[in-house]
This record gives sequence, C-alpha cells and structure tokens, in this order.
Amino acid sequence: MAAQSVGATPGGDGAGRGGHSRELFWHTLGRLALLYFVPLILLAIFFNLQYRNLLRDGRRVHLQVIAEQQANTFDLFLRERLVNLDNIIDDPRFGDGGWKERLPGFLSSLLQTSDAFVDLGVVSGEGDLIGYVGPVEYQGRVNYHGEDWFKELMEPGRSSVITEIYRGFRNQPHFTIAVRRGDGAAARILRAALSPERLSDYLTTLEGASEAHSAIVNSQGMLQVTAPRVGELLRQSLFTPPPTPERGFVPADQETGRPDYAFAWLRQTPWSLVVTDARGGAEAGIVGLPTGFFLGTLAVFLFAGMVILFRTRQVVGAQLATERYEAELSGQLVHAAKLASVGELAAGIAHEINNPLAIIAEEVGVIRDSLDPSLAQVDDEPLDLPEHLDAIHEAVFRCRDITRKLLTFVRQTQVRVEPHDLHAILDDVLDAMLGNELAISNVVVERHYDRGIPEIPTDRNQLAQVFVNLVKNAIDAMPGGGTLTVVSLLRESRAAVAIRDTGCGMHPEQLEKVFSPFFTTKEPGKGTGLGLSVSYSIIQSFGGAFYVESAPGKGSTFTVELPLAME
Amino acid sequence: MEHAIKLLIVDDETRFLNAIAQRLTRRGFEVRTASNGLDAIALANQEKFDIALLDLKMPGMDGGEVLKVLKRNHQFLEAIILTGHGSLESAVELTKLGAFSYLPKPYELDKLIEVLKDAFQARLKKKFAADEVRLEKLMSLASGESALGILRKMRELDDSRR
Repeated sequence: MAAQSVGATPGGDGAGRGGHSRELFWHTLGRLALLYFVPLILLAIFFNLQYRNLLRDGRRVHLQVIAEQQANTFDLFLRERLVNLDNIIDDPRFGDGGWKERLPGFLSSLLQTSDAFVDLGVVSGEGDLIGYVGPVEYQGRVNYHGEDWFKELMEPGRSSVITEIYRGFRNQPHFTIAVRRGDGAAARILRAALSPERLSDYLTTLEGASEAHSAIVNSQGMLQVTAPRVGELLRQSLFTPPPTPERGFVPADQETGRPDYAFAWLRQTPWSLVVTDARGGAEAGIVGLPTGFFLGTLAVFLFAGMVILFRTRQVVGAQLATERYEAELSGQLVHAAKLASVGELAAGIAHEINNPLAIIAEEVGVIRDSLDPSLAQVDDEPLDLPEHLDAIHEAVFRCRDITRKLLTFVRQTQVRVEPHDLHAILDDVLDAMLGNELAISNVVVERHYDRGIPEIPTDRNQLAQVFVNLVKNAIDAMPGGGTLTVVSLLRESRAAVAIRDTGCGMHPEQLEKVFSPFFTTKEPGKGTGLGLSVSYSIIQSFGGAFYVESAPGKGSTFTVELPLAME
Repeated sequence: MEHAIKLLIVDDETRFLNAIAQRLTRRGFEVRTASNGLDAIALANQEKFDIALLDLKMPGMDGGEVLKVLKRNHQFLEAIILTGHGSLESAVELTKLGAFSYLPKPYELDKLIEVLKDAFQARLKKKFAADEVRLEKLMSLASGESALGILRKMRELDDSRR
C-alpha cells in the first residue's frame, strides 16, 4: 500500500583515474602495513622485554652462583685456618709446659700451611697474653679481657672465633682467629692474626674470568676483604646485605648509584660475600639492546616492508584491472542495451516509415492510373499533378526525419557533456520521438515545467535515451491509455524530472529489482529488461540520482535528479 | 456499377486513404472510407459491405478491436488487415481474431486485388454453404481470367439469387 522508494546513490568518478589509483594504492598500503607491522612491532617489543628479563635473570643467577661458590671457598679457607690452630692447640707438644719455646716452630709450620698467618699468640683464660711470636713488639702486659672476641670465645659452647677486620700492627688491616681449650681461668687460647691481603689475592684469583667484582663485608656493610676497585678496606661500602636469607640478590638502587649485587653470608664469620657486575653501576642495571638483535629486527622490518609494497602493487594492479574490466563490461552492456532497444525502436520506426512509403506508393499509383487509358472514367477530373507531387515530397521527408531519428539513437558517440535545456530535451522526446506512439496509445501528456531551471551540463543523446526509456515504460504500463505527467523541479543544487504514469504500479518485490539488468515485467519476447539498468548507469555517470516510487494500482513515478554543475 | 463490390477502408492517414480509395474506385469497387474505428463500425452498421480493409495502429480504437466488432456484427464480412507494422505474430493472431489475411504497407496493387478476390471467394463460400448449385458454379470460375474479371463474375453470382 505504501509507496516504496528505490534509489541510486549520487556521486561521480572522483578525481579522475590517476587520483583514484593513487588513493587506492596508499589506502591498500596503509592497511597492509598496519596489518603486518603492528603485530611485528608488538612482537618485537615483547621479545625484547623477554630477552631483557632473561638477561637480567641470567645475570642475577650468575652472580648468585659466583657468590655462593666464593662464599663456600672462603668458608673453607677460614675453616682450614681454624683447623690449623686446632691442630696446634691439640698437639701434645703444646699441652706440656714447653710450648713457649715451640711457638716460633708452630708459627713457621702455620706459615707453611698458609701465608695468610701473620703471628701467633697464647692467651690465658683471664685474657692475658702469655706467649707471642710475630712482628708486633708488645710493651708491657696485654690483656684481651674486654675484647668482644675474647668474651665471645669464652662463652660456653664456643671453641673458636674469627674477628672482624681492624687496623692493627702498622695500621695495617688485620683480623684474628682464635681457638680455646678448657674453661674459665684455666682455659688456654691460641690466637693468630691473619692478613686480609691474602684473602684479597684469593678473591682476585677467583674473580678471574667471571667479569664480576667480589668483596666481603660485615653486617654493617664495612669492607673486610676486597679487590681494590670496589673500595678501600674498612670503608663503608655501598653494600649492606640483608641478614636473611643466607643467599640472595639485591637489585640496583638508582639513588645511591649502587649496582645490582648478589650476596652470600659466610658461615664461619658474620661476614657476607658480595658480588657485583664488572661492568659497573647504573649501566649494568639496564641491559642494552644488543646490536645483533636490533639489526635483525631492522632486517625483518625491511623485508616485510618490501613484501608489503610488492603485494600492495599487485593488489592495486588487480583491483584497477578489475575496475577497468567492469567499466568495459558496463560500456558493452550499455551498447548491447542500445542495440536491443534499437530492435524495439526499429519495429516502431518501421511502422512509422511504412506509412509515408505507402503514401508515396499510393500517390504514384494515382498518377499512373490517371495516365492509363484503360482506367479512364467518365467523371474524371483533371489530375492535379502538383498536389500529388507535393504529397510525395512531404512523405519522402517524413521518412528522412524518421531515419535520422533512428541514426541519432544508434550512434555510439563519445559522451559529450555540454549545457543543454532540460525542457527542450523533454519536449523533443515527448513530441518528436514518441509523439506518435503516445497518441496511438491514448496517453495524455501533462507538462509542469519549472522554467527557473537553468541549462544543465549533460550529454543530450544519453539523457534523451533515459527519458525515452521512461516514457516508453510508462506507455507500456498503461495499455488502455492514461495520463503521463512530466514535472520538472529545482531542488537545491539539482534539477529533478519526475515522470509519473497512471498505470498498474509495482509491488515491493518488483521495486527491489527494477534497476537490475534483464529484469522486466513484460512478457517474454517483449522488452529486454535492459532499459532501466542502462538508464541507471547513465544517470550515475552524470553524478545524479535515479529513484522510483510506486504502489500496486497507483502507478509509478520515476525521478531523475541531475546536478546543476559537474563536479 | 450495380455489381460493384463494396469496400470499407479504414486508415488514419488521410492522404493514403484518399489515394487508395481513388485507385480502387477506378478499378470498379465501391469504396467508403473511415479514418478511425468508431466511424468504421457505425458506417458498417448503416451500409452493407463485402470486404473491409483495416489499418492496425490507429488512435482511439485499435485495429484489432475494430476487427473483432465488425466480425461479430457482420458474419459474411471479410476483413483484410493492411498495416505498416510488420510482424508475423500479429498476422497469426489476427487470423485467429477473424481476419482473412494481411498485407503490408506499402502494398503491391496486384497482390491486393488477388487477396480481395480470395476474400470475396471465401465470403461467397460461406454464404453459399447450403446452396450446392451456386457453390458449384462458383468453383467453376476458373483462373485464367484476371482477378478483376473473376471478381465481377463472382459478384454477379452473388447478386443472382437476390
């Protein structure tokens, strides 16, 4: 019941062929690049992060392993030194009274075992130094009663102790190890001073090829043993490892500039081994992007870029080829439709031509009859030759006009867009071209023209073709006759022509397909179904709009909208 | 001429109509003309016609319609379609509707006379269907004479029984 509308979208051919293919190229390139590069970049970032984490983890583990190994080694070393003292203090020759004379001998045997030993001393249970051999020259009595190490050693259950580093003889750093036998005042303590230098040397050897710097610090972070680069002995280091766990890793501190380090607490002493990266501080904290990785990624990007470029060219080329092919096909379709409707038109025109021809034949016959004595009649009037000759002449030119009409229609000209008067074209179609047919079909034509419409740029033949098609369709829709209303309007920047018939109208299902090629509501053999689809593409090429409103029983209105100016 | 065969010619082209009427009158036919279907039907009701020559494409009533009405109203009237609209299908359809034959426009006069003869013969056959004597005489009108001659003889035969 309600009128439905089906339309063509406006719009011409864009900025021309070159602009279109450029546009298409960049558009496709952009899309492909986005499609490939974005995941590539994301992956690259992801893998880079993974790699960094891996490196960092690897380094951390590496340092921790070194810390562990070195800590174990030092524990062993210190343990051995204590064992050295144990051996002496447990030696029977120490126990009997003659140990004083044997002290130098004991020291030299210690020195043979390890050149870390500096001196050797014996201390009573009350803290007095009762025997000594070594480089220090003690004045007067020395008592260690108040010393921490002594107090610690005298605690029940302790049999050995190792001190922290202190500045001792000649202000050199030393540390002391001591072992005890017996309790209370009767206890005997054997103590020895050790030189941290040996430990440093040891550290340096251990460092070797590991690209790590090691040091030993106490629980306050004061250096006990170190390689020279890490800092001076007894100075506060940057490293203060947490008391727990026993082994661990501390990440870098950007504020103090302290690098990452691994630590391992020694068992023999309250010292911790710390290991740090040889490459130093802040730089070691950030793992740089290795050149190889970077170059590799670049290579991949370049390769992908080339592939994308190549592919884009391919795609765009194929697309353009398809478009060209489509355009060609469309042109062929238009041409075929023209020829087909020429067939239709030819039939109509044939009849039209035959009439003047019949007149000519008849007039000639009349003239001949008047010259034939056997046909003479009594009441014959003299032959008015000029009149008959005029009739013939008139008929001849009527034929000429008709063939001219036919030729104009068939001629496959290039589309020539020029300003034309819309109403002149409409009148030509309604009077000269289809006037006869309209009369014969009892179709009354009503024209409502808006004379305010200026000349519009269009191809005269093609536009005429569209109107012819619409008018003929209207005639066919009104077999018993009817009214054809042709209205022209000015609508914003467009000129609109509406052609309305009082025919049978169309159903929504028909409306949907009405512009499709080969769709026709006529019987088979009548009409090709190409007229409207060709008209549609013609109007589209003008940048106009073409739509229909129709309802069953209410007739149809086809509207053509044309821009007033070509874009 | 008393025995003239009466023709009704219907065509919207006036010039043509007058010319063909003239020519056929010269050849011994009695011709009435009409330029549209309605006039033709009215005329046929007023006067008795033997044969009608009809154009197909006319304004107002279409030639086919006129044909149907004429055949319905006058059973012995034969109709010949004369048309510039050349198509075989329409010819077949028209004979179904009752036309005797069809001729294209422009036509050849000899052919037209032949067809008129055949049409009139058909008319007489129908008319004499019950009359054996006349039928026999009709059939004995052999060829060898001009079509016009035969037509005259047939006319006489037709009139003879009145």
